[in-house]
Amino acid sequence: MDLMITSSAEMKKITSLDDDKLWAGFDWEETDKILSGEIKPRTLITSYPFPAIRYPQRGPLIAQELVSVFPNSCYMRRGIRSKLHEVIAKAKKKHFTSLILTHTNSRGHDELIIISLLNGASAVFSVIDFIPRADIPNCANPLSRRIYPELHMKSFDSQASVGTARMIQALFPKVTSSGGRPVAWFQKQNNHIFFRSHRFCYEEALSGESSSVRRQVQECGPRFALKLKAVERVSFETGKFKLLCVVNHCKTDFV
Amino acid sequence: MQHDEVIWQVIRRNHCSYMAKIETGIFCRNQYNVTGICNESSCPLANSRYATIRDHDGVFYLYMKTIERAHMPKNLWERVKLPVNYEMALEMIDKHLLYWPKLLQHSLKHRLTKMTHMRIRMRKLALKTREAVIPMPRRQIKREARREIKALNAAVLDKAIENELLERLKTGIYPTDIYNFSQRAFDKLLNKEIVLNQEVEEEEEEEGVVEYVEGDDELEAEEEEDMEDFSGLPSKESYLEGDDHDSDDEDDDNAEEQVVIHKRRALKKSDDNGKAKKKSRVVVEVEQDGDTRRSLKSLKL
Repeated sequence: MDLMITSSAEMKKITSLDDDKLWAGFDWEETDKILSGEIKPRTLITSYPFPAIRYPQRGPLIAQELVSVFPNSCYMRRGIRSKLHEVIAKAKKKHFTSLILTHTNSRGHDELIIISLLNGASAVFSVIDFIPRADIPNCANPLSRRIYPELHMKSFDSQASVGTARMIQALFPKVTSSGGRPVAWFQKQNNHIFFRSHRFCYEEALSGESSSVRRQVQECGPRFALKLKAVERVSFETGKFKLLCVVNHCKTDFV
Repeated sequence: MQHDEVIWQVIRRNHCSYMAKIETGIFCRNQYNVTGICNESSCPLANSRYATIRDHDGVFYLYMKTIERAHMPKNLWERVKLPVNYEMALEMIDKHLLYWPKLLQHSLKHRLTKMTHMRIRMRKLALKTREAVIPMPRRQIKREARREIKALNAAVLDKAIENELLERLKTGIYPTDIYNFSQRAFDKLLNKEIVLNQEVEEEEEEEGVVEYVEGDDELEAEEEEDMEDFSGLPSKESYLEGDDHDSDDEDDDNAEEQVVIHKRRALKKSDDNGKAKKKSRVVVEVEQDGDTRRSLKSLKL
């Protein structure tokens, strides 16, 4: 990915919990519209154009699993010569609100970049411990993608994490809480954001027992943990990233 | 006094810090060396009349040293900028190295050729986006792994989720009852529907376009009732979509099933269909991957 070099004055290093610094400079109007339900979010998930050095298949596989995580999303395979700004232009034409890029870097670690096509904010996460649906024991069947999951964000207390929470919330459409929807659970803990997806199901008890039906929570959907690494601004014309903030991995809890 | 032979013998026999012996040969690490090999004729220390080409940021310079300046190390090397044009650079070398030994002239031109090739290649590569090789210190990897495990333990995710969801159930946030997804019942339905399928005209639906209408008070109640009775619908679709999510064909099939169920159950199908038809259709380019879902472990990724 092309990174423009930013001057040290613009580059902010997060050393303390300061909400304005992390997400300032972005226009949050449009994102608020998604959160309130006016606009329906559409996500385009794709991988980097060039195949990764060590695990070339991993990026696209993760992208395909993510399609089942985020509602109203589709996966697009990327040609080797396609540039980011072309992808962004196409996505904007078809009214996508967000773009997700997955990649496995040369070290073997997975990365995820969420780009909001409404205001150009992009958050770079590193994905830790991605367990796809097939690897989860006793996994529930994935529901139809037309049933949107309910979003539950837990422990996003600090100001800076609210901004991150907003980026993630912008990917999910607003739904009324009704039983039977799968729940997409994002929990923040010590700089990590854990994702789980569960839904209710009935357990048919054996004929001998009195209560015929028991409600159980069953896991469906992949598991992964995210760690925010950087906040960047994407310019839609050139497709270049401008690094705004690098999140230093210190002991203090910021995101 | 400059005695090249003596210098060479001393360097070669005793110790030269620029010499690098590898299994393929003996090389010279000196930056002013023309060929890069440790030879008497290519040693910049053992030759009082010598020339090289060096590259600074894509610009080639011709460096020359003569015996007249051997006592002045500071001004030893004379530098001439070479033009970018290959032929003109060759002419320039000829001009400056007139009456110099042929071997030196020849190896210099050879070096110029190689460096020109390299320059072209580097420029081409710079245009392509390539993956940046990121070094990551081992300590950091271990540290992050440790922290992640700690965070995972601290989060106590499974319990938290179960408690939260079951609490929600108890408090009655969910107005309607949860519907059941029993596989067998839907398989039966599925088989019945497939027969009726062919007769019903299908409604073309794109992915993610037909959705339950949210935030609309009047329709909410209808929808929830529908959902209650539609116990068959979602799981069946999931059963169909089990392998390949990205297929448009499957969506069409689902649409058929959906329409069929509507008619069978005699619910407020017309409203739903009407809603669905009114939705604008956006054509999405989705490329199909032939891959079925498979675990990363099985692929040894």
